[in-house]
Amino acid sequence: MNSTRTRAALAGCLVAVAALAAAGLLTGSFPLSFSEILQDPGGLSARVFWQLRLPRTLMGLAGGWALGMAGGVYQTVFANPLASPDLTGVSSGASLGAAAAIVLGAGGRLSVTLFSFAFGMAALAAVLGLVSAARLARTGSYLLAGVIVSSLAEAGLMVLKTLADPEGQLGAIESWTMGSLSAVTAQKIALPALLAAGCALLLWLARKPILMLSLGESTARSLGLDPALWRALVLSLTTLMVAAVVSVCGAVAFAGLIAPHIAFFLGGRRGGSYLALCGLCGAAVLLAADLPARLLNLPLSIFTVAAAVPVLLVLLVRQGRGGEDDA
Amino acid sequence: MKKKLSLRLTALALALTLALGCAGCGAAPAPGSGSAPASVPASQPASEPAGEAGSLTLTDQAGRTVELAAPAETVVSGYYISTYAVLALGKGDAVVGLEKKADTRSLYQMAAPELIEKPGVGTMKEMDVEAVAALEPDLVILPAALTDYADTLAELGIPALVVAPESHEALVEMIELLGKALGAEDAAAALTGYYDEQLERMAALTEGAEKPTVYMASNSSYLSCAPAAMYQNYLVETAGGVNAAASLEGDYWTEVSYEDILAMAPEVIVVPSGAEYTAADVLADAQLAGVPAVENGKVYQMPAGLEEWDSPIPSGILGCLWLTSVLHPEQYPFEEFVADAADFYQTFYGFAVDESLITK
Repeated sequence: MNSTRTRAALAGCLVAVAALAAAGLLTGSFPLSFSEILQDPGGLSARVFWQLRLPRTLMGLAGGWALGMAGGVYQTVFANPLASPDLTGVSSGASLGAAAAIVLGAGGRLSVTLFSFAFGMAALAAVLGLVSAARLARTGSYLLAGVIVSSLAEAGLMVLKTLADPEGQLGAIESWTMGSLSAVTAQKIALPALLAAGCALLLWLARKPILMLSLGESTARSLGLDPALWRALVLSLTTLMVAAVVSVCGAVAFAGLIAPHIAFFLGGRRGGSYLALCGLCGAAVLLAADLPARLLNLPLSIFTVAAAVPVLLVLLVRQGRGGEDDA
Repeated sequence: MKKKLSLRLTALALALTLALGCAGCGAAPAPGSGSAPASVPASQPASEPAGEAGSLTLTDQAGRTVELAAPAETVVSGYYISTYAVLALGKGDAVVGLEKKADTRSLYQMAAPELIEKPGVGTMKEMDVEAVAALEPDLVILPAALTDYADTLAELGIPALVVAPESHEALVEMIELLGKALGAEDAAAALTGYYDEQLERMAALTEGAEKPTVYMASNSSYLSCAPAAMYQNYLVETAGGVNAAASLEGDYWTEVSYEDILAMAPEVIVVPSGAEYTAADVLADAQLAGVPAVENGKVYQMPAGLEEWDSPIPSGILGCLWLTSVLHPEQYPFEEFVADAADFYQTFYGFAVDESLITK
């Protein structure tokens, strides 16, 4: 059951996301005229709106939701306030895939998207493989395996950066690893957005087992849950969702880390609609970061990192006062 | 027990969905595949017979088919080499937008200062597609690294031509392609004809002459040089020299050690125009004291205030001529080269170059 506070937080976030999405539709380099779009549905204004402006806003919405929800799932399952999509190695793996596509000359954004998705999933497979090989399907094992896989991917990324042509490829790698929605078009969002939406729906349906997982192995087992099976499933779904988003937006830093903290701050609890609130907060963060990114043609991470600083400072202060017990 | 069974069934359903999701990703048609057909061999004709009167069907250097209702009268060029080419073809007035940081290009300041005031719409990394659309150009020219953006523009109904001038041959192909797209075929023929004429002239001048070994250093450091697969290797060979690093693998600037340079023993070291160091720095490096080029003071820097003559740009032919005059001053005196360079800029860019900038 949702408390009044959670309902108010959900309503407030919905309004904020709607307002930011509307601002996104009105912001860009092309002087869009909505009356022109209605009068001439095949004209340039209409094409810019349907091909660029709307898909970019929708991807910001879906991507932010997915990253925020993923952060919420990771922080709940790992019972760790610093858990984020980076923890499972998916972001580093996806970055390695994108860099490989760029340096190997596999071509345009499409190859980068497919490579990053494949490497993101491979990173997850490696994490699951390591956990299985260690025969210790516990929360801590996932964290450690994630750190190992992330480190390996980072090492690979450094090798590729060394091999990259500094004038073109290195810039493209740097640009990708800082995240951007500037190359999003109608054709590119369908599959990742649907995949992310499907995963988000399944995770929402699995919100109770996710909460049970945060209670520890024995408690979860006593509640009728197979912790190893559910942890693997939930983390796989979450990673699939993140990989789908990252493959299009690039690696957006900190959005998945701060959204759950904002959600907890607003909602005050991790049960009920917490994951939906995480998704809404993530969407708000990404849509808000994309507004200056559009106007200044800068990467998203500059603004998500800037937004993360005050949130993490508040977290630090609250923890110092014992106001939040996340661990 | 019932609850346990229900959880297991839900878990099974989630696992199946996940597996289907992964499989679907692998098999799904690629998003954003755009309208670009499969790669077309470079040897295919770059244009095909026109359908409607005046319309053009071109094949760009990414193998994409680009259709124009008529030769473009307004153009956005997102790549400095294509912007240089548009200027060389006498179509500078057609440029309504170009790559960012235009104010850092000396050529624009000398040949077309008005370009610096035009909107900058992209870099080699990304393009502001909405800003390009707002300019409503007849044609957009983009480097190969931005092919994906070319497809996006095509989806908006804005023709976009991808160019990849990575060698002299590809540069010539690009100039011919732009000549057709801009209705400047005669200017393109004049420019490429000049290249052929000068290349023949240099070959004749250096025929039978001794070929010095040349070390082509990179912009970032003289401990990095051009291997055989780079354009700079072509530059050295065309100028009647031998690339000291011709045995190195790779197609980009390759790092070497002092020992490697001593082993190569180049007779001439060339510092590119955009280098972050000078010929004096190379001459002053005690570790290179035993290198013949340093011993004999034969370390030369391409002119820093003009263009990137060591790259496949429209004036790249001047890099060949400059190096020929450096390597074979008796056959091709430097003063003669300076006059040729001044003539080139007057003929193709329409301005009198400050000859004091042409140095070695």
